[in-house]
Amino acid sequence: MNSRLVVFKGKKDGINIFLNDIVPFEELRDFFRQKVRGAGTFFSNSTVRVNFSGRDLSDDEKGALLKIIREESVDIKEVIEVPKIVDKPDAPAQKVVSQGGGFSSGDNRTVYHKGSVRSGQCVSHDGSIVIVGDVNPGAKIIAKGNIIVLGFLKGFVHAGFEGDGECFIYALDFSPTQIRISDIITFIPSDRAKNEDKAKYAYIREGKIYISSVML
Amino acid sequence: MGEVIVITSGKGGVGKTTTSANIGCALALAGKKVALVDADIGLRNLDVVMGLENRIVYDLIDVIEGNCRLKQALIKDKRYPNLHLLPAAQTKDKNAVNPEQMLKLCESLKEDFDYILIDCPAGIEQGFKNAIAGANRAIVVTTPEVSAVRDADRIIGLLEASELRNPQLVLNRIRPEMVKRGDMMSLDDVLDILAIGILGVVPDDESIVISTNKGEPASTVDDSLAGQAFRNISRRIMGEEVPFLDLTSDSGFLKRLKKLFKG
Repeated sequence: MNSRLVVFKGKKDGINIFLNDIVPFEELRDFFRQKVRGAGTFFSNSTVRVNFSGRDLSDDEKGALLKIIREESVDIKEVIEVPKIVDKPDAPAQKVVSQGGGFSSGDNRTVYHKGSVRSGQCVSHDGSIVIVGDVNPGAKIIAKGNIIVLGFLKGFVHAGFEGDGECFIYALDFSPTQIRISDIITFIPSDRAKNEDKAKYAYIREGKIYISSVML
Repeated sequence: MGEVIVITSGKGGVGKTTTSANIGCALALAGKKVALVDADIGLRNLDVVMGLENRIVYDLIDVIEGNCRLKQALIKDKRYPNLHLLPAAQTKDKNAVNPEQMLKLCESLKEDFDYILIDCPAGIEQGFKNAIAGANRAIVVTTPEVSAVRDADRIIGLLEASELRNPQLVLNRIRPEMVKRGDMMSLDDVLDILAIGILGVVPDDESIVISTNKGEPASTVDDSLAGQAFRNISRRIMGEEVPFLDLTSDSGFLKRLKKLFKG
């Protein structure tokens, strides 16, 4: 049981640390220290990117855990915490998505979100996301896989969140201001020709994001 | 048993207080018993717009803290016997109230009134949470500006998360001639983004400024176009079918708007 309180998982772009959310923080912290100490060369890079999941941490708690990594690992120069998508309690979209297991589990099924995603709401998932509705300006969609919007896309989307450059973004009315795929960011000018096709998809080729019209 | 309607917007200055006052007066003129509640504690001005500032003895905080009975704090508007105002406190802030207390207050107002209109403060913090606590229904006010529409969208998301489904929209301060020129967002543009039911469109009208400064809401003045718009909104609130903008028609926006107000 104890061994599952903290689980380290090496990923392409860093380390995902899964934290149990049932035990009190103090107990978790002590176990975390032991685990980091025991990990030895696991953190032997000069720079480590970590990402916590499985438990909602306050800034103080997060700071304490990052400090432990710094203290217990000799070789380490820098610890970068990958900003993780925080579930906002006021966003109803989260409930739908969190049923899929969130970022922590190995569940990478596609989730479907029915209805519009409004400004200030965030849908995030450990796989692909299909939005059956609109993504309004100020809304956020973050997926480890592909993102498909069956409506207008005017908000912020990030596909291939953990570094998968094969991911694509598709929308029936593609007019976001900024999109990200993997770690590449593209700004999209708002002055588009009027008779241009609205349905488009974005993908990465040779390290650049390309946007193409789609024949339907 | 009355109905509690919160009038909110997210962004400040789009006309929440003006809308509350006008709809309140129009409902009262139509014979309904109306209580207007100013939930903007610390920045009260519904009383000023209503021209009732000099009659405040007790306020919302006094009622909640038990310094007076609810009936004592309700200001009866002498011009419209069905209209009552519960003013906000000016010396406290939003944290002086919590959502449970507001809910209780709304429940007791429901017993005596047909409609309880809550004028929500701007923002999404404590004041907003208090204002929506007891509401059964929400009206979102916005102007045809990108910033106001963005905030309205955020507010609609928060309302839906708080189980206040199907909020209705009031598009305030629209200028048909600017929409015609393509310099202002049209009703369709706004509805494209917000995708909620529309309760009414209020044109930008000088008479609103004049009547607000006088403390006589425009919906009580016969020859005001905006006043007519607010009267139509109040009739729709009461469940009447009032002729509305024909969104599919090719005729000019101004014509459609005129058609609406004549109907």
